[in-house]
Amino acid sequence: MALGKTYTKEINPGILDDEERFKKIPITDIPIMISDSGEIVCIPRENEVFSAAIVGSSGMGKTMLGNFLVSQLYHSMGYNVALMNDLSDETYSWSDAMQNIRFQQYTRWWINQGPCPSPLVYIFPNTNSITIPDDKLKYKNYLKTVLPFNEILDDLEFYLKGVLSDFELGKSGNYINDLKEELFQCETPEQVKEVLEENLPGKEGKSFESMRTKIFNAFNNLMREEILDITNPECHALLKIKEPEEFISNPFSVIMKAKGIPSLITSDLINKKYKSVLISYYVKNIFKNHLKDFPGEKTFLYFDELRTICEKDDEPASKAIADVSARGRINNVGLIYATQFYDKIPNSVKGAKLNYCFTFRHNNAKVLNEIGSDFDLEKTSKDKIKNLKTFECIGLTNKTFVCYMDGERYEVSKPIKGHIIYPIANHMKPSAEK
Amino acid sequence: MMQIFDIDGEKLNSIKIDFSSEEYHIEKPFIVNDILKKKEKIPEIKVYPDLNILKEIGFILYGKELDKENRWAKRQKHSLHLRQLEAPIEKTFKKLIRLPTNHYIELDINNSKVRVHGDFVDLREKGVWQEY
Repeated sequence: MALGKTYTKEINPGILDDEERFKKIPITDIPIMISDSGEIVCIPRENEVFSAAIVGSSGMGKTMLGNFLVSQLYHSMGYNVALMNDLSDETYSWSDAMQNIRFQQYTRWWINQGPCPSPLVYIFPNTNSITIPDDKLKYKNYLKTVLPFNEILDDLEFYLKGVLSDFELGKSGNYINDLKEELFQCETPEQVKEVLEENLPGKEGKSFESMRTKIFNAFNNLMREEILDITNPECHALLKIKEPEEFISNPFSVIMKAKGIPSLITSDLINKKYKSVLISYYVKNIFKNHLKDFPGEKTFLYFDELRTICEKDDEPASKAIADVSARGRINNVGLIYATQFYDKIPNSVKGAKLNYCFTFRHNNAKVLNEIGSDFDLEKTSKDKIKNLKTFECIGLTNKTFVCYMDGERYEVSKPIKGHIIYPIANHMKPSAEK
Repeated sequence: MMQIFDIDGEKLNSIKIDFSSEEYHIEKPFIVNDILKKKEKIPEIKVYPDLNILKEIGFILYGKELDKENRWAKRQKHSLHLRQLEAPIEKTFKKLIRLPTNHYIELDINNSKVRVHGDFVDLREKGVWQEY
């Protein structure tokens, strides 16, 4: 009688063919790095979103980890991702597949993933100094945006403070409120001017002249900066998709709905007073409408060099980001940011609200002390941070990491030292781009 | 393909991306497990500062010369690759006679495993134990 195949294998496992012997184990969590012991260290996939910081000196690998994390959140987890602060045009290369052969080999070796581009759409906020780098964006996707007129009218003083920091509309705001209906109908700056000319009191007499001047100045300033442009059809405040059902929203949410990744190019905003106000508008808009716009879905907002938009607690962008940090779990919006200056990030954004921190080499004692107190770090771990090499980092958490090794999946809550996994999307410093 | 329109229903010319294209599909990450691999004992690690131990366990440390653009550490000229004596190797591998500075060999004597530590180790092999 012939022995069955199964029985034969039981008494002599050596006869297993490769397919039976080498079992494919999917990584169902979010891989981040390879520990010194060869474990694949992951952020666990959970029902709730998380918040994470990537900290370290310049050139150590922060943005590279950000690039990898964005791909994993989008491709492997199926989450929505929005890049909210590309200050140095670094994300232009992310919409190509990784070209560096060594990086490709490394990532394939460890997690069996080959190169893959991220479907980025570059968003340029319109300003009076914006230039679109046509040569760099020849085969890429982009659009220019403006803030919606009605949004600005609803909170005129807030936006005007972004243009003129000491501006106070005071009681004059009531006159604007009375004219909102008519202003909403305007299609050109001239029409706005006409409505104001016609309807603001003080046309004939001098009693309301200062108020009139104040309001005219305010609108002129907004128009001059061109962040509010109601005439240019190439600048979009809202976008829409028609299928499977009509969806109209801000450009970020529409691009995410279409399964793209929006990337806000902020290089032109560096010295603009209204930068914080503008970023605040998009963050607030995505955040407050998320449960309605993306029911049952998770969205992560990624900020590179967070300090450039969020340093003081009372800045509009800080308040909006602090909201995501504090209440993101309720609205299913997670937060990830990279920074060199962890000590300069407002307390409303970091500290106990952070679930994970990936720290690259840093010598600043103040930064190390702050990280140390937020994550109960021992002195030996702080010393390790000072001596990390490029692309090496230490993962810290107030929750747990999940590790994969030798076919097993297990939880670890201690700090883990390791090497980042190289991105599957291309990564180049802007200066290195051809 | 999900098309994006402006508020008046005009197609956006500067967005030509097909987000659902095959280009953006990638297999989810996975690892491969050898089900015949023996259950490991609690490791006992011994550290060796030179290559002599490798001779005893039948291993050779090779160096592979790297172009400038492919180096990842300061003062690096080679990537390091640990191989068994009889294992097939790439043509460009050259046997090393001593360990670079700040590199060392680790043996897990309870599980009969070896690995090499240091900045120049081929990144794919960094942290990887090999059985001896």
